[in-house]
Amino acid sequence: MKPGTFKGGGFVSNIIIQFDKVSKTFPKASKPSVYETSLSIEEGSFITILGTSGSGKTTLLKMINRIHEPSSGKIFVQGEDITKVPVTQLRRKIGYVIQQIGLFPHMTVKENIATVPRILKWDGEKINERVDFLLRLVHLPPEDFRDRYPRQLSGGQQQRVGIARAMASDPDILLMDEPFGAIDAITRSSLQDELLAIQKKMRKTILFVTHDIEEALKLGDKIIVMNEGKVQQFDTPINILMNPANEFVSQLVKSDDVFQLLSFLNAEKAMVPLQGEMHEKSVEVSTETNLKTVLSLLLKKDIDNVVVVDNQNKPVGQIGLDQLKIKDQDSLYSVSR
Amino acid sequence: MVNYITNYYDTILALFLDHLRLTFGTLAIALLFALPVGYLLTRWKSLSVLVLSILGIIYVIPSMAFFALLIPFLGLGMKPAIFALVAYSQLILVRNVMVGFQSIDQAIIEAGKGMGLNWFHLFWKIELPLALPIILGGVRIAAVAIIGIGTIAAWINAGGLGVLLFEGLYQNSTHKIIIGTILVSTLALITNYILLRLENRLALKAKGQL
Repeated sequence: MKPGTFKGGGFVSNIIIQFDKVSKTFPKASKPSVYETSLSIEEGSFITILGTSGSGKTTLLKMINRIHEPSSGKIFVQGEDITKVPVTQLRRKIGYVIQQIGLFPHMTVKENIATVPRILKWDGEKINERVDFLLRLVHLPPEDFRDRYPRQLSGGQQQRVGIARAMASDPDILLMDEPFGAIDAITRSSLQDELLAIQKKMRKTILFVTHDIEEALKLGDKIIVMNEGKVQQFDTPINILMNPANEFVSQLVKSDDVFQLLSFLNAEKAMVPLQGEMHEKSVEVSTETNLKTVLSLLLKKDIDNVVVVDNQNKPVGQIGLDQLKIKDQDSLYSVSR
Repeated sequence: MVNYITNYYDTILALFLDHLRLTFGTLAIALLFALPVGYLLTRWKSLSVLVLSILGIIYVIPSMAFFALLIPFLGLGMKPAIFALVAYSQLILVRNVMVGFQSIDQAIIEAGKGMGLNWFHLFWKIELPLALPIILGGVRIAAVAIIGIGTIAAWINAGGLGVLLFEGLYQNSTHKIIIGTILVSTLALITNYILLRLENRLALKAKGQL
């Protein structure tokens, strides 16, 4: 592994993408979509870009692979000014996944994934290996899916192929524009989990646009909150929740129901020391379980507490309804400190 | 009539082959213009209204008048015939080429660009195969129209099955008119059928059903 790709491991992280006072005003638009934005993205991080429609989040993303060109300012990818590199060369090291997926309907799954490797004249055996590897990575058994056409796949399966295709030539960066926006809630949730696992395994730098706070909190190492073309806050999910930088972020976080906050926080952050004796019918959850799940267990199972167990299945704490009451910012601190 | 066919089958065959040459020569030349023009009009939409209007005007010029108009410039024979037929087919072909490229889901184009396909790859691997069924639909309609209007080109010495029809009219010989009509209709029907089959096949391929 390259030095500097560890996060929080004592290494100084490399900056892989840098925005320097970037503005974008579309022709005939009265206001800029993105205004004087400067940002540095660390290599190997998972960044979610959160905002409402018209906030400039998609424009910000699409300037990185030059689908949109900035009106002013400069963008650097891996230290290079992106306008100084041939655009096709730039795009081939940046995977791109969009909400509408955009699979090529006249090509099989394999041909879709192999599009860029074929242009790069990879040898056939290497292409086959790569296609099968990527299909397994996105949980589609290659022998079943390789030769299917996009129309024979469900929406979730199509976007899995979309992700595999974006990673075909092993790009360092993945740009994702609301990739799960049109996919049903259950499939979306498992795709999110799989994407997190893929990111952990492959160490890609991912920029992920979403308008869904829950998705932004769940996926992001850091979140860029955008409104009216400006970055409102660029921070960790915890800090976005606990220390909103301004009124806008505060409103954004508060206006969502408590379930959404709970779904981000995991059990470890809310448990209290074990009290009393263990019941035989006690329900166990892992430290990674989110508090939304814990709450629904408490409501459905007619129990006072759930027992939190660690990796070795050892009980380490418990959570009851008392621990899940979030009344204001102060109690939020005490729950998840 | 049977006598005429047995005595002159070689003449009839020669006229039939002339007509085929006229039709497919015209189509080939017409596509050389229509493909780039139609494709470029999808990029410059503001021009498309003007271009299609001009082609529409050409399309409604009566064919006899058009052929006659061309005689001072191109003389008689195949040349003015092909010129006029190419001009007639442009409206159908250019419009279908345009619609073919415009019907492609923009997300597919954006995904292709985003993965780093250059203009050439995007066109050959993605856009053309997806636009082809609609383009071929235009070719089919144009081919049938050319076969029909092509009979009138015999009037300016372009040859083809129109010769039989005009001779039949001038000599008042019904059997020539009948043979000519049957052959022209058969050619049009068969051409239509073959191109339709091909079009459906390509449509299935573009949708990923083949």
